[in-house]
Amino acid sequence: MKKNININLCGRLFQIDEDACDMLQHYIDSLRSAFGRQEGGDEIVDDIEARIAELFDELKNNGNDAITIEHVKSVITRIGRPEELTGEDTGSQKDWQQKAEETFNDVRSKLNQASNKMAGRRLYRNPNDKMVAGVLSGLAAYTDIDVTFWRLGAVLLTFCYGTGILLYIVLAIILPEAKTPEDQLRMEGREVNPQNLADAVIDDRQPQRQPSNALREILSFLLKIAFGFFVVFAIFVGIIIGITFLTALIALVSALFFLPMGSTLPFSLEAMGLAAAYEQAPATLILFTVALFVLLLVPLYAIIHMVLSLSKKVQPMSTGQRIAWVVIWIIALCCIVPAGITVSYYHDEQRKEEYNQKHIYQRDFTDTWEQKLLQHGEI
Amino acid sequence: MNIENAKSQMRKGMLEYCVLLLLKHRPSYASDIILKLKDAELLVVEGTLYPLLTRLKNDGLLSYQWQESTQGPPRKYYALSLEGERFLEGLDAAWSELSNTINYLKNLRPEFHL
Repeated sequence: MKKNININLCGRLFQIDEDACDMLQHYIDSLRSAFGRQEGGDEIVDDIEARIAELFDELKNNGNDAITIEHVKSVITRIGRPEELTGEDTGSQKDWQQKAEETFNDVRSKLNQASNKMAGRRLYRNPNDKMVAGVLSGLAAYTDIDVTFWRLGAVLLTFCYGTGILLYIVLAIILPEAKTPEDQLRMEGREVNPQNLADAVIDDRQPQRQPSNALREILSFLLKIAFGFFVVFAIFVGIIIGITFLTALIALVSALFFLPMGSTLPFSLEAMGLAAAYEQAPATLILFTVALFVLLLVPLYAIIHMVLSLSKKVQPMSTGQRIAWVVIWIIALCCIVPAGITVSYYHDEQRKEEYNQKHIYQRDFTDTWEQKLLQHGEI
Repeated sequence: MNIENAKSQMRKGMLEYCVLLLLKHRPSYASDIILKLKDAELLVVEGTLYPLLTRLKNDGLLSYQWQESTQGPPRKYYALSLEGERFLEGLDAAWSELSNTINYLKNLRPEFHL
């Protein structure tokens, strides 16, 4: 529901939503200032206003009682943005000196702006220029550093034992997406007022195309190929790891809870070499199982939740929830390592014991090869 | 991207000639001119027309009259002035010259030098 106001455009009355009115006002103001330097500039803008009134009349006749922001956007697109319209007909060239002065002032004010901007910025994922999830694009918007550099850095970091990919996934989960124009403004550190909002919407029409040169093209292309490889590789690895862990999880759970202790059925604790672990350090074994469970199920839950939220069945997770799940997962990861080491230690012990039992009369004749296997709990 | 830039530059140069040609037939107003240009397969953003028409009027090539309309606010109907008609004849001649030049260059065959 929006506030509606009456406006008078060229002597005709229209009912228009408040936000649409702000955008329209901003558009007309920028036209006036753009054409203000020209001779007869005011007349031109008057003509344009008349044209807008005509278009609004058409809308009214087609049954629209109120002019909405969508109407205003399409009118602006139709008639053209101020930068497009000026310079069409000015024959005058600017003084070189004037140009130099303007550039100098621009640079100075930009530096000021930059230092002020950094203060109020927020980090979002940028949906306007994303390759995967817009994480790097968001970082680029936040730091004003070209996104291609960030992408290059991410790829290089990935070569360091996959740090890049891990960080990217973590950030992709934690950072929210900049959905509304207000978010986009905050991402770039600009103040949220109707003027800038109108700008953000108008700018949206043209996806920001950066001047392309050969280096950027090559880099983009290479990145795309590298990305393709990574995706295939990651899926492959993910499936293998997933299946392995899942099997281990199922085996553990069934051994712990469903099979009687001391039995020698194929997947019981005894048979898997974990009975010793269960006797000596049951808590650790249980911790191992729980951590494995969390490690597998939390990402699964996250993916399901994301798919459902995309099809609008549930609300997407808030930043707090995302952080909580990531933290829980990392804790599980940190637990599983020492727990796993302990469990495997007991596993080796058990195997050694079994071997000794089996070969109790042959102990002195074991050769070096068997001794080695013994040490490693293989037999 | 570069061919689009070149096309856009060419169109900008031609726009004035096209508008004057249209107005020679009969007086018309801005949005109608846009539609006719669209029929002629010249796509322009509406807003570019207003500065152009005002400049032509200020240069004395066009004159306008206000006409009430049933579908909205009153419109400016532009028409060629006498000076405008003479200017158009000059543009016709210029266009023929240009056209000849382009045709000549296009049909040029490479010469073989020994």
